[in-house]
Amino acid sequence: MDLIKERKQQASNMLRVLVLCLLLAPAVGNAKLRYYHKTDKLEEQVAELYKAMNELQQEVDQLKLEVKALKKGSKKVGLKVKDMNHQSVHEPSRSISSSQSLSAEEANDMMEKIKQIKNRQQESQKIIDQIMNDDY
Amino acid sequence: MMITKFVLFFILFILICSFKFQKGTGAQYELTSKEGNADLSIYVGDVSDHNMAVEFYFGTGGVLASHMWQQFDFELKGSSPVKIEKGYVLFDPTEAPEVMPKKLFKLNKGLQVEDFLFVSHGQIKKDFVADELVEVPAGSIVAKHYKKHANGQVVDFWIADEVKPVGLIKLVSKSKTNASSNYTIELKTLLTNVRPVINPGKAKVMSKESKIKMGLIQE
Repeated sequence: MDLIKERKQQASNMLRVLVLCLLLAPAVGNAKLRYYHKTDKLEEQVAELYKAMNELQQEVDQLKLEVKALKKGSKKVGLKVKDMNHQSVHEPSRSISSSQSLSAEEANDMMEKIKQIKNRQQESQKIIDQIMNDDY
Repeated sequence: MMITKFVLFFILFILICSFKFQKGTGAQYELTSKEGNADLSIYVGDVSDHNMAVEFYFGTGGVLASHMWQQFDFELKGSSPVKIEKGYVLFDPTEAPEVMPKKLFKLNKGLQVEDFLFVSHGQIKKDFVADELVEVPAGSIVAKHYKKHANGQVVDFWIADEVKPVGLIKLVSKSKTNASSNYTIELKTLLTNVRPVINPGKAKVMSKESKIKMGLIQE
């Protein structure tokens, strides 16, 4: 008799636990969902934070490189800009390209060579004149 | 022939960088290779709601000086160029420009335009090496270094947002198998208010002589 009573008690306890579980399940589920949702949100925020940190680090690295360049020498960090004033990059009317045009130094060099040739010509002419005037 | 393929590389940068394009802006470069040096200029010839014309100028000096202009008409999707619709070439500015056959858009044996066409910033990110300080004839600037490999060709290039609209600061191409793929391109100056030379409205069918020059047919 005692055994039956004990088993009945056990069954009743189990039923109570089951009912409690059934009652608590949605609450636990919701809590879990809320937890996961919070975790996901937190993970998103952490990812965003890492992304921002990376971007900031990149900017810092760039600035470091620029500072290094400025410290290294006189060269300024920046690029040349040429205003073409509504002209084409290579004017078709020009007979020679810019890469073919003479610099001041090249022009001086060429003038010097022309001078030397003229002097040699004059000297040659003198020699020819001397030969022509020589009395054989 | 050699200079034709450089166009493809520059198209790459224009395609990758979806900048806000402005008419008359561009950049001038110096190309160095075993075959000699050349001046390269790239600038936006015209921009409308759905199209953008980009003109390229190639010039070599010396006894055998040569000049060539090429203009490409891109279809725009938003602010990004996505497809070359038409191409024009001009060898002699006193003559009319000529329409380029579409075959010419695919001449390069190494990296192809298709390798870069429609690529996103995310796709090129995988080729990122580092932020580096680059010194070129135009000055020095901190740029993003990328490295690309294809068919035995290795291309290192540096890009900076400040170099709008082209984006390219420097490019070094190396190949053990193809000698003509060994060259360096460096920025000489940025350009503003450039006037394009090619007028597509006056373009005619490409002559046999031009086809030979472009390597489409043999002499």
